[in-house]
Amino acid sequence: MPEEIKETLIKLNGISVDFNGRSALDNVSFDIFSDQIVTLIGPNGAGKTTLLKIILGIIRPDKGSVWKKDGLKIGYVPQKTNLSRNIPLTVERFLCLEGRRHDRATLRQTLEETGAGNLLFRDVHPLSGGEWQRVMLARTLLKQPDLLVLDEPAQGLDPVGEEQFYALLTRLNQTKHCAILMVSHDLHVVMANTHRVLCLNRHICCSGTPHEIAGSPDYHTLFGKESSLALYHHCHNHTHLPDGSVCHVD
Amino acid sequence: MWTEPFILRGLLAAVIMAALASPIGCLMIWRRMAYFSDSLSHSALAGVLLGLALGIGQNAGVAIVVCLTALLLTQISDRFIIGMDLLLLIIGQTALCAGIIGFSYMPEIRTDLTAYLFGDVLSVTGDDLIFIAGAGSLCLILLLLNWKKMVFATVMSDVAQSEGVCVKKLSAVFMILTALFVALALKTTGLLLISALLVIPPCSARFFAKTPEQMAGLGIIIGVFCVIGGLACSVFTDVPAAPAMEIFCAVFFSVCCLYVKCNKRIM
Repeated sequence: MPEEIKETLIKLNGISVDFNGRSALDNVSFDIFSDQIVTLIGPNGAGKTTLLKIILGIIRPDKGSVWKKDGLKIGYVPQKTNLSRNIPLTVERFLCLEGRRHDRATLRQTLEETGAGNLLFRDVHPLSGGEWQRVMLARTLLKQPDLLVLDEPAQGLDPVGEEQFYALLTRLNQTKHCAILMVSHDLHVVMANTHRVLCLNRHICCSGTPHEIAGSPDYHTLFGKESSLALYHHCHNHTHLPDGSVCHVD
Repeated sequence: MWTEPFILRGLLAAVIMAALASPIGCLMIWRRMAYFSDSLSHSALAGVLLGLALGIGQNAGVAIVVCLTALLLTQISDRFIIGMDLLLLIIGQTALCAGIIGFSYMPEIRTDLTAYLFGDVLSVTGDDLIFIAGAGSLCLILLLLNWKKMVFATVMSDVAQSEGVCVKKLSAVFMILTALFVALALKTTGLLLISALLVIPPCSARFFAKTPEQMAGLGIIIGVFCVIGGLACSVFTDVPAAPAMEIFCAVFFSVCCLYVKCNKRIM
């Protein structure tokens, strides 16, 4: 990533959220910079989707603040849509959901950028998982976002489709200069295509370049030592109890 | 015979109702809330009683009670341990029973109970028609102002919210919309048959529509057609009007099902 155009897009400061008295996120702080690909990893129930929803303004944090650059445009591709089959919808109408009209040439061109150029007039219900992800991605690109937020974008894709989809994201990051924040479980891909990794388990366990993370003991505590990454010896500053809470080793 | 004023008034009331039923019904189907109008309409009987007790007229009473019930329903969190569908059923049935018991204390209108349950479109008065047109215009304005946002929020609630759509406000608007519709449809179809007219014409339209707007528009055409057909049946053969309209909708829906099956279009 070129250093000279690094600009802060989002600043999270001490974010905490409780759901029904149970802590979902505890004192999470980090920044997202322009042009950067940031990947959020962590076990189930670690609060990854909650954190995305806080950044998107869908959930209000109990403590802490979210600062966003003035006029920041965020495109959100959610984890799964629970779309009723009773609603008739073509890809064309889906792309215009937010209300702004686009001419067909723009729509087709945007779909082509995500590799879905032939889908414009198709019904959305029979689309495959991969096609659906590309269409959703195209919808967010129409408003030329500065930041793309994706929640497990490769879920339900076969290995080839998954690799192609991540390659597409990398390409969009380079050509459109938009930052990407995504949740992913595909550790091998994460390591290859990401500038920065955040390892979340209700708090941020560790963060850094994929190389640095791979050496972090916290990472191994969360994902197991068999994850295909080199081992380093570090000093633990905390471990996790079975319920995920932090146990400091003093 | 068609030029008799009471038939024209009934026809106009039924057509306004059928035209509004489709877009509201579509939103309800897409949000998986088909039971919602049932519960609301069941509380209408209590509204009739309130209107008579306060002397403000039954239409106003129905509008007030149904809107209040709708706002009460928006307060139910989807995290509550008893599901929304069950709560709707409990509230609806209880409101109906309370209304029927209330009616038994008013001997002067007790005989009208059937008219409230199953409608009496041919007894629509000029005042009723003014109320129906007024409530109908309000529904139309709310629909036109919020339609695109409502479709967006129905397809992807979280994404709509992240792009500045206030989903909570839209839910409240939708509840008010349904409540107004129940109030204006009460005289035409009766509270037990309101849901049928909301749901069946859009379902027929679903087979042929490619976009949400096509489904709502086609639903309006089908609904108006079925309502006129039902009313004609009622005028010429003396069967009750609202059930005849419902049967017309159902027959049309069955024909659509058969047509689609014969054409091997897999939906």
